[in-house]
Amino acid sequence: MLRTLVTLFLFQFLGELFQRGLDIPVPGAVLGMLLFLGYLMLRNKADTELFENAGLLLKHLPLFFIPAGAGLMLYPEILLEHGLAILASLVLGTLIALAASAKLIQLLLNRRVEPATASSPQSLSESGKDEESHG
Amino acid sequence: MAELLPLSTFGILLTLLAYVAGLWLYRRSNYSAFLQPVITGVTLIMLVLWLADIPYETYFESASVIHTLLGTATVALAIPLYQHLQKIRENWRPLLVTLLFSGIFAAATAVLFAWLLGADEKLLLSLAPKSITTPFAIAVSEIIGGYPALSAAFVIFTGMVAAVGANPIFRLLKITHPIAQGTSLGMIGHGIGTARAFEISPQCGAFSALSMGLMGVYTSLYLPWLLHLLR
Repeated sequence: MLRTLVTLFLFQFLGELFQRGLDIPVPGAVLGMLLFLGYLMLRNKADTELFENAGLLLKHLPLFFIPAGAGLMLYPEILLEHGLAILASLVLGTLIALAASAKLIQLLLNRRVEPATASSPQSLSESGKDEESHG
Repeated sequence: MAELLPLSTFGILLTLLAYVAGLWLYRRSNYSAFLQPVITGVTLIMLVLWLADIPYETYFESASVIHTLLGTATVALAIPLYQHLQKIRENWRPLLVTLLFSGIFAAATAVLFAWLLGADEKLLLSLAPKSITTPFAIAVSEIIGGYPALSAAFVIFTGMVAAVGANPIFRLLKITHPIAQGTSLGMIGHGIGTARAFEISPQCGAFSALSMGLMGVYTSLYLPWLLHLLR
């Protein structure tokens, strides 16, 4: 657990350092995540202990949104004044984006010539089964 | 109650208890998209602060450790992304094209509808990161000058809309490919969409988790830069 904490905080710190030092408009935590991803790829090893311990943190991800989320109470007048604009943006915007995104990737997937080596027969039959039960 | 807040443990304990209550209710409701733990948690915190007449800032300072850990958990999101790298390699072309399109389209539609109905600039900035997972959205909103708390709420609401709307949309548009279902749910509905995708099938869920990560990274890289250049 200790090693996991040191690793995660180190990359979080590096991300914040990069963001501050290079003055780039990208969140420090996101930079930290990218650096950490680069480290994992370079290392290219299934570090079970690290993955499991970090998994505990991710399992309770919603907990960490609460302090920021409760800040909603600061803006009741915005929600009241612009309720319709917000609702249209979130409901219509989301449904249209979901439809467009799903349609686009399905077109791309269907157009693609299946590479002979990439998919094993098992994964093919698996996706076939999924299509049957949900299509 | 307000005099307990200088104790830094009070805000932490309050947040943990609100989360535990939220988790309990979520399980009791059989994982309803409308009763995510964060919704109950945030509501309970706001209720307690309002009833006890505690300023939000006082609470936030007292619970700042938990907010710091949000960044730590964001860093940890590299792990599921790393574990899904093989799937990215096998499908990189359709994934990349869809990602480039969806990242811009999701933000653009969100901003467009609100702008047409008269939202001001700061609200538009808070709406733009609505399709990316909450830790990224809070960070992006902070950096582009939106209201981070509003963005967090918008993100969660977006996820619920995507989770509830997925089935009708997939049926209407004949979206039958599990990779297409998973990818679009993850890109537009982030974590809540991903939970929905795992109910469809494990393959659908895996692609959704992967897409959520890609969308979060992509949007938090391009959106602040784009706005930086436009200003």
